[in-house]
Amino acid sequence: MSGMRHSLKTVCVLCACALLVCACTSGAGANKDNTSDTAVSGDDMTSYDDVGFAMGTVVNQTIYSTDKNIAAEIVDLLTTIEKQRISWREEDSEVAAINRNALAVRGGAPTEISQETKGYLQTALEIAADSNGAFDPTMGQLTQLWDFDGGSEVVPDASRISSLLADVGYAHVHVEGDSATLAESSSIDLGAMGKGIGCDEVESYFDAKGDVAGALVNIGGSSVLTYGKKSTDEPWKVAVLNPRDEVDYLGALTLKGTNHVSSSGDYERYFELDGKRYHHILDPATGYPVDNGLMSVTVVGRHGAQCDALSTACFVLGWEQSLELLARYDAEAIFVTTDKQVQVTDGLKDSFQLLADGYTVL
Amino acid sequence: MKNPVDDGRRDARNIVRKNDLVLFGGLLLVGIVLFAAVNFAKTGGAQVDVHYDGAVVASYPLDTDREVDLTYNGHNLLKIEKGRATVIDADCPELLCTKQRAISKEGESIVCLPHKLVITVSGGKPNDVDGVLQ
Repeated sequence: MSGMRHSLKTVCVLCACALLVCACTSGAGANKDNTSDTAVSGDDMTSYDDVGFAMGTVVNQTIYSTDKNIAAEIVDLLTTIEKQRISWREEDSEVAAINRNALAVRGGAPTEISQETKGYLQTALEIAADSNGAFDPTMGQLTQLWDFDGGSEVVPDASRISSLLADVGYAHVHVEGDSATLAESSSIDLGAMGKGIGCDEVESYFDAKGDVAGALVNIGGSSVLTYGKKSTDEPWKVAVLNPRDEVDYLGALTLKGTNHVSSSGDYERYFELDGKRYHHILDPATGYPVDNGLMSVTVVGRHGAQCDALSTACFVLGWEQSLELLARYDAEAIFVTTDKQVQVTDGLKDSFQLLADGYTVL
Repeated sequence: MKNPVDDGRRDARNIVRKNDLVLFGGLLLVGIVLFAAVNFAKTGGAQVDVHYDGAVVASYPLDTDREVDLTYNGHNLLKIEKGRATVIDADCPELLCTKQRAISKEGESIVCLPHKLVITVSGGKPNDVDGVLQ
């Protein structure tokens, strides 16, 4: 009898001690170090964080892999894509060459392009057509005129806007065989889908490497790739910023496996004049910043370039007109209006959690 | 008539349960109190850590407003105000550090790669978010 009592007692005391230890360590262990290149040990896979610069912005990565070089390789990969293929600013890029050749002869001279750039242009033209030009990759000269990137705070001359707008039109871009031609004196600017293109290429790179179990790659806070899974079965959690407070989260998305997420907002680059906000998302129909009561659109889907271009197209189109476009690309979205109402497409309702005060989910 | 077996069982159960449950409950209570204390300490103590070349070289509490001149591999002006930290001036070529949004939550960072400088928030409320879209 006393033996039984003794052993039960021991079990109880051990249980209590175990709970005590658990309580203390779970509290202290939550302190995560998050500097560049910090390794934290997971269950069966080591994860590490990296921060670098590419595509003119900050690239944050969390990678679950035994290969420590991957993060640096990704930064190099993104820089190469930017410099050799898509940036109109880089003299040696393929897009810059297409733009130069547009002016070389009347109707444009064809430029030889890589299969990759051909793919990017085809995606751009497809979404431009499907959105009736709400997304237009030939807005380059208008974007340069407004120059939000350069910090300009001047509304350009109306006649200048309308004269440049006359040459805008995705139908002026022809992609045939191994070449592309821009038939007007406008210019191609893939800025509205560049970071999404980057996320697609990172996904392909991880697939080819084969030793990446999971990763989260965040390019400039405007395009995010969630890839595979963490060492635990926990889903990825991606926050969306409150459009009117840069340190506050509007809400959080819980995503499983590989996904692409892109945002477009009126708060990234803008200036205010006479009480009016002029932001960097230009309506290809008017040449002026979109003014339709939206503050931000976030798109979730299977392909980065698509999500990135769709987030711009949807911002221009508004909720009603975007639904069919989103469905065509099997994408979901969150729309936030200036009167702080949040609309979420059906497929995301269970994965989106509102966090900010003052907003209502419709 | 008493059943000695039943009685013995009840007796054993009583003795084991009463004392041991008190001990068990007491230890559990101590655990809960410690857990709460550890977590409370964390939410109160958010700080801004400055990392230069991979090592923490300075820390400042997030709840005290100040401006700090960081001169490690160049100049960066760190501003802490109303629980948020930003870099408001620098002498790096592209000024990307000044264009990054303010940080206030555990694990968020501002980076100046040319100056090998990373500014992070540690402590404070635990942040379980893997990435932030802006």
